[in-house]
Amino acid sequence: MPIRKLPPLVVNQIAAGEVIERPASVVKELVENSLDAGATRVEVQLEEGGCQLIRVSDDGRGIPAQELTLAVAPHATSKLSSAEELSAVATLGFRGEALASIASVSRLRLTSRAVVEGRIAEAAALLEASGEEVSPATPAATAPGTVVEVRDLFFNTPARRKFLRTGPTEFSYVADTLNRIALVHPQVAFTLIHNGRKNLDLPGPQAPGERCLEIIGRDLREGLLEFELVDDHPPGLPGSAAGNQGGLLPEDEREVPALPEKPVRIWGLAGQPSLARSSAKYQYVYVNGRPIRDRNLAHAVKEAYRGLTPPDRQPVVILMIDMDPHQVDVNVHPTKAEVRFREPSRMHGLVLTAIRRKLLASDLTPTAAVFGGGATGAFGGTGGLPTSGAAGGSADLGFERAPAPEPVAPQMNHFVEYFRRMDPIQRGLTFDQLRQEVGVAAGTQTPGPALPAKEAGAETAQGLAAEGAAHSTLRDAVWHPGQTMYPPAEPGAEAAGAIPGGAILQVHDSYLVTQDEQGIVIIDQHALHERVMFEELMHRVLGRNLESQRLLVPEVLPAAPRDLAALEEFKVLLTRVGIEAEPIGPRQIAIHAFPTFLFDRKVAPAEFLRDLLDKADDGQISLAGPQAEESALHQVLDMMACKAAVKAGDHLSNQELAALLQRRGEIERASNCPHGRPTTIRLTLRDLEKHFKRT
Amino acid sequence: MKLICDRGSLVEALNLVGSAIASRTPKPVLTCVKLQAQADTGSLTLSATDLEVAIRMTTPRVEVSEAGEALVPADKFSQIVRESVDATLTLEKEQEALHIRGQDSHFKVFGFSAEDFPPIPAFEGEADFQIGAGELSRLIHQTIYATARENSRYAINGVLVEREGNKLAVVATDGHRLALARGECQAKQKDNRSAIVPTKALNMLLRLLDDPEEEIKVKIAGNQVMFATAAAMLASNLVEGNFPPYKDVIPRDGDKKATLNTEALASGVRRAALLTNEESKGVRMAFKPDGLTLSSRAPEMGEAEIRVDCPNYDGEPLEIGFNPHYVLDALKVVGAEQVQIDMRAANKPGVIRSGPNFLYVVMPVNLQ
Repeated sequence: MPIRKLPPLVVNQIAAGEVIERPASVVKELVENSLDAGATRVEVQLEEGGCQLIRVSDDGRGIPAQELTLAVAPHATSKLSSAEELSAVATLGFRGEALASIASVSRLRLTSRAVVEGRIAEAAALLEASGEEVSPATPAATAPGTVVEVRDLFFNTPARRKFLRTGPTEFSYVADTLNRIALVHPQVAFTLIHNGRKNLDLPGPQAPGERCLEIIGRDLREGLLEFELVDDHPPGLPGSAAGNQGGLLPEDEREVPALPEKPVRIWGLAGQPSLARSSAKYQYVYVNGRPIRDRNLAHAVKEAYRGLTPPDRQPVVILMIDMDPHQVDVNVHPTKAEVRFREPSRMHGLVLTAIRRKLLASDLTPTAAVFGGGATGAFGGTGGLPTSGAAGGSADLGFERAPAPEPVAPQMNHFVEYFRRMDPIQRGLTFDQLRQEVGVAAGTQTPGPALPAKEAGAETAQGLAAEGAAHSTLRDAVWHPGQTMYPPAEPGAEAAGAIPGGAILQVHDSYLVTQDEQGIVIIDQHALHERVMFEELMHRVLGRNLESQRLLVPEVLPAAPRDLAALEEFKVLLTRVGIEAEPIGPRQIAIHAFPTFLFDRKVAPAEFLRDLLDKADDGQISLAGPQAEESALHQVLDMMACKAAVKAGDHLSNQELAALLQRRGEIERASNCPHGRPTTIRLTLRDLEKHFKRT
Repeated sequence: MKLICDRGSLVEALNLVGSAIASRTPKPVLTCVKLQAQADTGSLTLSATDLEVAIRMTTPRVEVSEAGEALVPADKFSQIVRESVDATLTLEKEQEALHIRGQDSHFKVFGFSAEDFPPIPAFEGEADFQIGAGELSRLIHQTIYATARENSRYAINGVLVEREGNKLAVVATDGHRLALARGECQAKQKDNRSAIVPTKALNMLLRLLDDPEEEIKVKIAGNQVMFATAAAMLASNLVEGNFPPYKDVIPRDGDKKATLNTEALASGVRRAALLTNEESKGVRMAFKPDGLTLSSRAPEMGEAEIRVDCPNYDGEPLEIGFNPHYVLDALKVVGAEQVQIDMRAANKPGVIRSGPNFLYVVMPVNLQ
């Protein structure tokens, strides 16, 4: 068969194949057109789930009669005129394909009465298109706006038609699609009518929070926390150096144009951990009003809830990101369900911070108030640390080191400040550096990281510890007096001004508080232990496979075919980490051997492998792409470290505390857990002095 | 209720009964010990329960002047009895308080109404079987350490007791190793029956088995098992669930057999275990016709190598890794000078046995 150019109908049908999958896709395209036309009311009418009829009417600008024919032509749009604009798309649509695609696979009728420069056209115009045939526009009567009717979807592509499900199922897809769109456009009223019955009736305009509740259910009201974060801090400017080192913004992303750009604004509702669901269906992510799927952001959300929700539960989150369109490319996916950020890791960091900060600052008992005048109320009173009032919010995160200057009145500015001043926590904790600075000065070169204090600080620090021991008023707190934080210093060292024994306080069985030569050190016991285990495992696994104990009777877990495929794919990796498992039959996996150290920590093999396979299924652990093997190994070891590490709430004995802190000095990267969260924060003596107004 | 009792017997009884008392319970009566003085037999019975296990102990070393019942907090009562200096103590109940009088002392301890105490089952009817205390003690000692702790498969947190006629098999496993002890009993019931007994109950039972010659009566009724000695009765709920099919996991194809001196092997394993740590706890056992070499290596710590005589190793050379604690657990209880180890391959189980009555399957550790 000779090569030839395809007829336009076939081209459009192929394009339709990408964009128009089912009635829900038609609704999405048409409603987005309505929104782009500035509609304030959108009504969607369906028959048989949209398989027979979809009618979308709006009160938008409409299409002038003379442009109607062009509207259904492929690659024709009013939303975009040049390639430059493509890099900063401000409308929902821009490809100029939707109507043409829909027309090529259905019987389309387009009625519109345009409003041009405030003047309503005298008459409406009507156009019918079906497959290849496009009728000329004829006069008609209708209210200002546009009505699009789509009948007999896929009437000329039987293969597609066969894939349509029953009316109710298709309707549920449409409803879901419309919900997702309506959620982010509270200024617009939406109505959804199915087989003549009103299914959804959202008044407009509504407050964003109200609209969210309307859609996800008012019963969740009590459990939702409103979060907001504005970052107008252009990542390319020199002032951002501290932020970059803090790990949010990788340095290689710096060469973005330093034009004054629109700040990134993140707003949303975060469900309390107790609301978490078993599916991610209750996570709504939007960028510039566009519902998207993004693994990176989904991960940020999950990470924000880390330790708050069990691994198999998904938090309820509505996340809306408003940002400069230059910073995000929407032209990567035919249905625009995915976008590409110029700075994915910055977005990840911002989302993570916005949600986590809110979660950390909130009392997560399920009665916290929402939709107050501002988020400030929830911030107060949870810190427990001596910080200034204005710094309360960020002090919970612990990044802040310098005391806040003057209380910054508007919260926005405060958030911005917070990012500016994010401290590179690694700096103060690098072991070698510390040893150099301190150990050498005191003339002690002990093999362990004995940290003699600078003479000036020693007395104060000791006094503090002693005072703390005497007035231990923290609830549930246990002092462990006499516990040295580090291996006992040589007798001579004490005379030289070292802190003889820093007491270790375990607060609420979750955090360790102790002192070093600079002040008070607060440690997240789980994060630190996780890092310690991770480093040790990494070190071990590079040498040889992890030691594993064989099982007398294999542990069996049910498995789907994709699990079996993943098992096969990860076989080598699993062997390296001491897991031996193989399929038995088509629906089960048997675990024959499992790492010895995980048994000691009471990690159940079947549960662990289930988690691992789920992560593989989600693509969180993958062997595709460059350096995937290493990153997959990291992921798996991190899972192990996390499961094996002490949890928040585990009581530790004196010996365990001392051993954990000793290992902190022995491993690399002790300042952050394997996910990059800090393990340790420090309150310097200078901070304390300022807060107590001693300076 | 009023009686004079021998303080020594009371201390002993309280020690045994006290082990059943729940340490943390919202029901205060469960922290109590129940006293029952019988005038006709001239005896005092002490009972305690945590609703899982119940124990009752009777001592005749009392003079009952007035029969009756009392319910007193066990910890205070025990402390008072233990700290007292008298040879005998007078116990008298007045309303719900118990007066404990010595020569120079008088304690009044508030208790509860004896009716509030949960009923403790009595050993009624004929026993299922009878077994010598010494034999029962051996069966338990040889297996109980191998039970799982807090495993989600509840069944293996207990010990399986299986009777076929006069033969008794006691089995415990934690999924990594399995201990099986066989013994003889005198069956009184025809029906064979097996039951999974909680570890806690067996640990308490061991404390009742101090006279090896005594015959212990055992009865399984409903979901309870009862053990009766002359002076005491212990009842426990059974663990529900299915015990893994233990006979299936005992390999019979070990073609490499070594016979070793128990103490020499234990000493070697103990020494090799010195250089293991949490991440690297396996001890490598290299069997060759000229002997057994044990070796271990803990990264950043060091290495160990120990040679153990193994005069008649029969088979190809084999290197296999084991968790030393699992091996030692078995060697501690074999009660024989020699043990035999059967193996097949580095990734197949090893079987430690001595005679027909003790067998221990241990899964290897992958050392590569």
